[in-house]
Amino acid sequence: MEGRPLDEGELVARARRGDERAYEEIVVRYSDLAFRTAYLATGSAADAEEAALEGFVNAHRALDRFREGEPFRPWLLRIVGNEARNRRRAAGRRESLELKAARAGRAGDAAPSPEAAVLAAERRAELLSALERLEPDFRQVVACRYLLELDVAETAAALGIPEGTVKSRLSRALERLRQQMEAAVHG
Amino acid sequence: MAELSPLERELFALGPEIAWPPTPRFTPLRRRRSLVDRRLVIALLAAALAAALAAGAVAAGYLHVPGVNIQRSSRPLPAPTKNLPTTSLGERLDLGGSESSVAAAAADAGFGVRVPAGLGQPDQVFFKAAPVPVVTLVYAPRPDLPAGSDPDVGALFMEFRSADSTPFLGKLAGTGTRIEQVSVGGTQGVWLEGAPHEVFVEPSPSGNLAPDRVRLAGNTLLWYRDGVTYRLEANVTKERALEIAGTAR
Repeated sequence: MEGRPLDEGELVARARRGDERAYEEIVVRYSDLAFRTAYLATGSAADAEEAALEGFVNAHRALDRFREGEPFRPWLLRIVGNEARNRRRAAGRRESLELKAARAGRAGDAAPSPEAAVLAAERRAELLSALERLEPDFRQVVACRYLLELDVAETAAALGIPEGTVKSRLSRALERLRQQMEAAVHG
Repeated sequence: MAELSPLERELFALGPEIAWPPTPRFTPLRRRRSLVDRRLVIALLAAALAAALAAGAVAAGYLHVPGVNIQRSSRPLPAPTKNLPTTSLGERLDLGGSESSVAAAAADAGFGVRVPAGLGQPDQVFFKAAPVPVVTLVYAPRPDLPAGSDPDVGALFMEFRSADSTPFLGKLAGTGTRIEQVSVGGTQGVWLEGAPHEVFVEPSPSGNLAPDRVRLAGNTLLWYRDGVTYRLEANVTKERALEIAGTAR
């Protein structure tokens, strides 16, 4: 791409006209999002890689069916999410997910005291553990909405469910998480 | 927007802390272009497969020939993707450019193109120059040639000059696919029937072996004659396929 970075709509419009570099730019921008969304659905990095790649291939092939002006992310996530679920089903695996917290704190955070750092790390570990104990449908919706920061429409597209279902599952999942975290504190 | 609860704030804060597996580098457009190469490899493998079958290698479930590793999958393979006819047939099946006639394709390919009389004159002819010249005859669906995974295709008849080996890795058949050695007019051939097959593996960007699939996976007859490999794919019985193959002169 020459000059200023193109916005999403412009990139998609160019890609629809056959500009391969524009599509490559789209792929670069959304690689993390597509891969992680697929990872949440498959629980396997290898399957997620294939699902995201196949998703990008299929999205490129289907670009002429994309309605210009519509948001691109949910459209792409729907395709990737479908691929990921198909792979999980084909592999005959039950949905499972292992998430780990990597860093002690984000760049830019004020350096915490050692005690605060230990407490924060414990709290994160508790939260992750509570998340892993949720039923798969609840865990998926929470992970998409909060860990990947998808909005409700994007979460619905990625998981192939209606937006209303996303909202109701979120509400119930948060309630369960809250109960589990309280039990962890008081237990 | 409703105010976030403390738990929601914690969950949002957790996102950047997650140790996600490293995101691979994706090159989907290169992958699309390479589909035709793998389509050719399928047929290139056929000649090697036929030889290996003769040596009894398939009994062990593995076929090993220079540059090629063919293996039976331990589980059923995913069904082929349904092709929606939004692009031209040549493009979505990676068959190359459309040709005016069999004669024109033969002139481009540099070998005599056979037309199976049992199928009649093709509805479309395609020619692809690289990596080896390949001619594909396409027959539209009709009562004796029902459509497979592509609604516009009743049968595909591909022919091309064969190479001795190819640096691809190939996984040939899932658990539900029958592989049978057959004789096609006195030359050796292979019949594949049943569940989706011809799923190939290739090194993925991360170096792992990753599955890929061709988009048509109907019953397939492969055979080799005089330096040319032939591949007939159609939803017909083995007997009918052999009959059609026998008319390719």
